[in-house]
Amino acid sequence: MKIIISPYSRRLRNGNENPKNYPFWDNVTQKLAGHEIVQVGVVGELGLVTDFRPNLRLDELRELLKWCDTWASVDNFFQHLAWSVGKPGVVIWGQSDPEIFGHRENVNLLKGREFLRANQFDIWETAKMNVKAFVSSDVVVSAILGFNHDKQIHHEG
Amino acid sequence: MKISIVIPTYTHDVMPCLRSVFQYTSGAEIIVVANGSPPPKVAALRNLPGIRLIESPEPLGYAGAVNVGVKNSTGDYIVLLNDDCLLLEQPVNRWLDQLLAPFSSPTVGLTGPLYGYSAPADANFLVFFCVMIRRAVFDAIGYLDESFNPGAGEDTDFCIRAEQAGFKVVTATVGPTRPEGGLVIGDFPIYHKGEATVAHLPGWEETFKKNAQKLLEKYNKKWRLSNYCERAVIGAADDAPPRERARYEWAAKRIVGRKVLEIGCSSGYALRFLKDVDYHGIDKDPAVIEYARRQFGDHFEVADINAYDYGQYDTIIAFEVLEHLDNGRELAQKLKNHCRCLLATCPYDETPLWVSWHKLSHLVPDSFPGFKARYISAGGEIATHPMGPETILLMSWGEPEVLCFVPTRGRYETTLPLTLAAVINQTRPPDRVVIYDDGDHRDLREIPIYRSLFMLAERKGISWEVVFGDGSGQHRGHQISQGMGAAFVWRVDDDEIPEPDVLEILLRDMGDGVGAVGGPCLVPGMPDGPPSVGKITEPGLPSPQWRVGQRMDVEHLHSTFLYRPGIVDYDSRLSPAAHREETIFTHEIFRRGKRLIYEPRAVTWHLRNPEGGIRSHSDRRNWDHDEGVFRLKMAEWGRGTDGKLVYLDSGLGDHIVFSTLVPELLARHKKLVVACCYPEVFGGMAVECVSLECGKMMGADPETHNVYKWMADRAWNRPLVDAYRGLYL
Repeated sequence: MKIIISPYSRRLRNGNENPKNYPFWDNVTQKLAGHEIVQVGVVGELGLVTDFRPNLRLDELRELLKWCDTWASVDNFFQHLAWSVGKPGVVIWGQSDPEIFGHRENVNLLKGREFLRANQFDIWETAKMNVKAFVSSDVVVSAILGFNHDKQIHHEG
Repeated sequence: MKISIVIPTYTHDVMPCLRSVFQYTSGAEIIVVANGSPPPKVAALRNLPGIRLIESPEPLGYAGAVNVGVKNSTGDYIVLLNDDCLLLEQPVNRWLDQLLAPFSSPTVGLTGPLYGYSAPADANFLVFFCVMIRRAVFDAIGYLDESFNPGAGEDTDFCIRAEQAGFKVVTATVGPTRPEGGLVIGDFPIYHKGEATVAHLPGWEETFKKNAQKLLEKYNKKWRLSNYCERAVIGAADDAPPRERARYEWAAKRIVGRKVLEIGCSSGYALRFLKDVDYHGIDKDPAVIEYARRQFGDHFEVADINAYDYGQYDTIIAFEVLEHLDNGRELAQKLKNHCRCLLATCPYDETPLWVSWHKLSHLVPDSFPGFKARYISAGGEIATHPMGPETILLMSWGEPEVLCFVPTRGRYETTLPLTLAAVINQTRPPDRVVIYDDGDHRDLREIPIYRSLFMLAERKGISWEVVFGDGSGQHRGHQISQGMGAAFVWRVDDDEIPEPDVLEILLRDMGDGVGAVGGPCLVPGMPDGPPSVGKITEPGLPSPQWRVGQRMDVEHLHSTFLYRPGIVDYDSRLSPAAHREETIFTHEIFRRGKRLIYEPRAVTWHLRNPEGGIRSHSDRRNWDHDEGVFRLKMAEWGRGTDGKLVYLDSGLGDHIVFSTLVPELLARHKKLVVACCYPEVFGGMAVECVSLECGKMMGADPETHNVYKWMADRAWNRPLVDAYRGLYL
């Protein structure tokens, strides 16, 4: 499969890592070995695969979306961009609510609503990273590989 | 072939001359005419072998003495030699051989080493201190005209008569002419002391004038008018000498207003150069005024400059007249009370009594306080420094100073030198050039091409300076230029090449009530821009200056134009990119009741150099910010649209989500202005993006536009896109 991953959301203004970031990307990419994976993001982010293309323009990203079979991202701009061009993919959620910030056309992987922030509209600088809030890498890989199956919000556990 | 040498002598010692003739001459008949000479001198000559002496107890004058000698001579060629000449060391008869050489042509009648020009006769002639004449000339036209006695002018008269009879008057074979105390004529082996006799005669000056008058009456009707060659009398069809042409062309480009008075107007030939003016000329000489009226119409009046009842004029011209008046300096100051602009010339630092009709001498810039000084050379070149003999002092008071302001950044070795060359070489150059370096602050004097350009500017009387900016944008520099005291500022970008007459044309349009004038600003090879009538409300604000169109009044100007500083300030809120600065600036001038004019003949070429440039601030946010400032101004001017303003202080993803609603918003609103952080999201959409700061200036309340607050207030649990829809649709 041709897969795009957009693994990170931007660093917070206080310098902390964004709690939206999925902690198990290494496992995901290892389990997807053999597939053609392109990572997008910005310079300074950790490259998870050989083909890391930072700082692409929006039109370049749109072109790349035409090329791929599917994509996976956290709750960042990429899921909105793909949605805006009608290309469904996999979004890994943690503490933000996919009912509000996601798109139903995608596979939205939410471990459980109990992990959602109480105030979904508060700034992220007040939130802390919670690794327990995310689905496992197996779930993510499964969603990616089984992308053509049901597209619905997945509740694990 | 026989040669006779005729030497008339009066009181001057002729012996040195004769000795040199004996030494370097062989085979010629030598006739000395003792022309009323003192008895001792005559006695000495009587005993001198090798000459024929003709004695006249009374002075016969130069022509009379020569004629006696010629009549008594027997040669086929007669040499007339002044007694203050010395033949220089040479092989025997070389001087005669050189004089004889041109006679190989049968049409040659006279030869001599020195050719002169007679202004009274307006003709060339051989100076008769040494001349060889074919006897056939005397046979054809007679002898020298003795009415010129005691001397001066008879040689001119004889040469003209000889030419009129078909004889050629040519120079002998000589090299370059070099005045050295007396005269040494090229390689012609003779020394002429010059005017050893006649200049000492009583009443010589009167004689000179009398004979000049005689030549005038016989050959040159303008002589009378020219006041003995002092006054330039140029008719409607005459060639104007370079200096006269230069000063009136200069004046034509500097006169203020239309009502012009010229004092000492001579033949009125100023009217050949001053166009579209209400001209009045005065001169004290009725003859020259009558001539002026015949040549140029009824614009002239006989008047005494000091008794004249001056009214008020826009410009007064006083060319070559102040030096003729004892009170010339005081008059120059007095005339300031009667005009807005005074243009004057006089001889620069002239030696006292160089010419008797000049009452003032040693006139220099300090003689005329308050005037700006320049100089005109004899060849008509205008410069900041005196240029050799016969330099004329060129002065102006009240002349509107034009400052050319060239903002620059990063184009030191590409287009900036081209721009400066085009500015400096204007037909009407600016008085000052200010280079506003908003980039690397280079010392341009270290770059050879700028050294040449600055030297050229100084030669043309243009002062120049470099002002260093702090990188905050050209509008800051332009604002500085408004305080530099110039009457007009001409803006030229550092990749714009004005055609040579642009400033001259723009200035012509800069009348009272005009705030700014601009011409076409065209990109080579690019198609014309869209048609425009220059209204501020036009969609996209196309400028008439993007094509060559019709002259018109407009509401804003673009890029390069001439303007009257001090009417309004440049907008200091703009970013370093200074996008829209000129549109805001010129429209504000328009709104102060001043006319803005588009003049299609003043073409400037815009090279659009991709390197550098005063606006080369690549951060898109600068441009969006400035667009917001502009929109704000439009709102101030009541020119705002019914557009929808959206304020997006959020992440990239939120921008993308919002962008999907743009088609719906555009269906409801004529215009959509988005103050945002990621304008690239809206690329290709009919959306005007501005900075967040500008959004606030345009009236956006960040709280009201905060979609997260909007959702929190409503305990929102539906998709974000629906929240945006709720907020804006």
